[in-house]
Amino acid sequence: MTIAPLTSPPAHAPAQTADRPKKGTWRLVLIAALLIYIFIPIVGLLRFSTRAANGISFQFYRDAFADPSFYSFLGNSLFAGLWTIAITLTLTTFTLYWAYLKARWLLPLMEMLSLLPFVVPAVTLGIGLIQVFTTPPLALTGTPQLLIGAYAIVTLPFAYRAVENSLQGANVLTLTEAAESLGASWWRIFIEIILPCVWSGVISGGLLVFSFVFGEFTLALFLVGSSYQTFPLYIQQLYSYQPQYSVVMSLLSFVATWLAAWLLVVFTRGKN
Amino acid sequence: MSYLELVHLFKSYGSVMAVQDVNLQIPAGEFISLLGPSGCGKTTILRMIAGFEKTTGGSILLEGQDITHIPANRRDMGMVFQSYSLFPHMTAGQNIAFGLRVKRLSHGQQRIRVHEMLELVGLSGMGDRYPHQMSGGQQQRVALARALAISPRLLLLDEPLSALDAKVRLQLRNEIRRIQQQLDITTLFVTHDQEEALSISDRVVVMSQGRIDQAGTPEEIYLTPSTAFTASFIGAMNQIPGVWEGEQVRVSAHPNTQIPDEFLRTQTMEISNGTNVLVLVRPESITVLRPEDSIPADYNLLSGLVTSRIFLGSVVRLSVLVGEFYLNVDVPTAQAEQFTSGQVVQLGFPADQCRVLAIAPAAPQSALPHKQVRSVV
Repeated sequence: MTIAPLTSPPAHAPAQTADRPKKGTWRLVLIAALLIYIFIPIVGLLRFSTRAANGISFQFYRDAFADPSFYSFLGNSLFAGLWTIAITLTLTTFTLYWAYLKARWLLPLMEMLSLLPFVVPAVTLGIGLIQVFTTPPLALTGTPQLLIGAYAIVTLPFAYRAVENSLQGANVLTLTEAAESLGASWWRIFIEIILPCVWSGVISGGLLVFSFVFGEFTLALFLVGSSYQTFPLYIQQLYSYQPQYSVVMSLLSFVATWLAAWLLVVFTRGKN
Repeated sequence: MSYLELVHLFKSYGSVMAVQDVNLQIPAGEFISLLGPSGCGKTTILRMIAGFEKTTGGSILLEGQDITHIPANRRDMGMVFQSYSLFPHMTAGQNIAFGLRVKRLSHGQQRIRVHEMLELVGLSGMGDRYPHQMSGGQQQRVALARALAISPRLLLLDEPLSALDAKVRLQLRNEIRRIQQQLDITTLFVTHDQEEALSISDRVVVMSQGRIDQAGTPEEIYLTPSTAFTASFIGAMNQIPGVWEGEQVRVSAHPNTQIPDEFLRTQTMEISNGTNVLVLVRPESITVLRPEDSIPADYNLLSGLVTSRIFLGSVVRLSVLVGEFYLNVDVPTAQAEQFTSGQVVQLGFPADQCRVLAIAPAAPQSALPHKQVRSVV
């Protein structure tokens, strides 16, 4: 017995094929709109910063990189960013690992607490911290320590979410027990077994934290102001008397953030 | 002297008693299975032995040493988990070598041991593969090799075959037994699969509601269950209620499907007259008689109505209504065609295949090796 070939498509097929290009077109339109929305301001900044009487010039870029204070402010932001990453990730990773092993009932509470920094506006947090840290023995206002401490609180949701997602997928309890039965100590298990399993989450969290700190303005203005100037404060300062330099710095800030986002994609691709 | 001994072991979670007064003695080199339904406490016992759960009461002795409060990483026990639990960022070889690194063996010694272990579990040449490049069965072999590499004092297997498909499960089951016998390592195997437990164990401990229900060799457990729970949990078992009356059991009759003399002949037991009992008989012990069959003198004869039939491969299981109860009867598939629903059949089974259990409330008990924990009185 042979099976007759299907000579005509089912009745509903033409309608389906007609729908497909329509959906595809809509997708393209949406993506194009998004790209225009993102890139028009950047193109504007780029054009503003390279405009010259005789066409295009990169003089502002050359001048900006030649300014020693640029490196000083960049260094301050990098310092604050790296310390914030270290503090936030250490706290988050250890605490979450401990909760996964010993107190899973705490996880919903921890999740709720981790979201609190989103609820409190930066201005409110800044003023509150100034109130507490102005008088001895906790007179820390104006010091990078206070700024880093505040950043560690504000960036908690980013680090928490990234690390928690990794821990969820890693079956940490069984891996810990397997390593324990082989004689490993708690530290060894954490460093050699758990950390490599959640590494992609730790890296993602770190990059998110860094992106945030690198562009944060309000807390820096309130807590340290001119005594410890970060990169966003430098941009704001430049804007008042050298707008083109300020635009150059804004573009650099964009590039740094995109670089962080790209690294994030590279590190998390195909994991978890 | 016992190699491993559990003495009055208790474990509770709040008001829930997970393990209640468990006593067990395991000689060196024995393969013992903890068998029972989900939530019966078998995994909790294993985890307490491994050191992952604290005991609420009692003690655990290994080679006479009390290890109840020793941390898990100092107990020197190899454990295999249901979910493989291989370290995903390490190759099979690195997984096996992990415990050896912890023990500070030299690189050369580690390499030799890893090679030996891979060979033992039939994975020679696969040491460079990562877990995600291996099948479930291969991953579990690596987990077994990793647990054995450190030459543990005790091998603990927590439902290691549950996540595997039927064919691999059977193959790995035999491999585990071969390796256990080859290394002569004392092994505790937790499973809810009775076939698994019966086929590879020296001794089976049947558990129910946190207690040991019966402990014995697979043959003892299967042929002479001492409780209604073990009888019903291990294989298919017909349980016919009746009353013990002078060496026989009176069972209730039904006008349509009669029992000729209302009495069943059973194994000889010491039971007081008038005691309510259960007569236990396996479906494979019951024969559907044909008119030309000669009937031995010690046979119980019953007639009943076939109500349904289930194809099980080599046998067809008939459900036959006899008196006020149903009996399951296994008939070889080749002979099963002649029996249809609604047909009246004659059943027969020998008295020595009928075990009798007095129906009595369950009482706390302990389990000792090669001893039935509850005698039928």
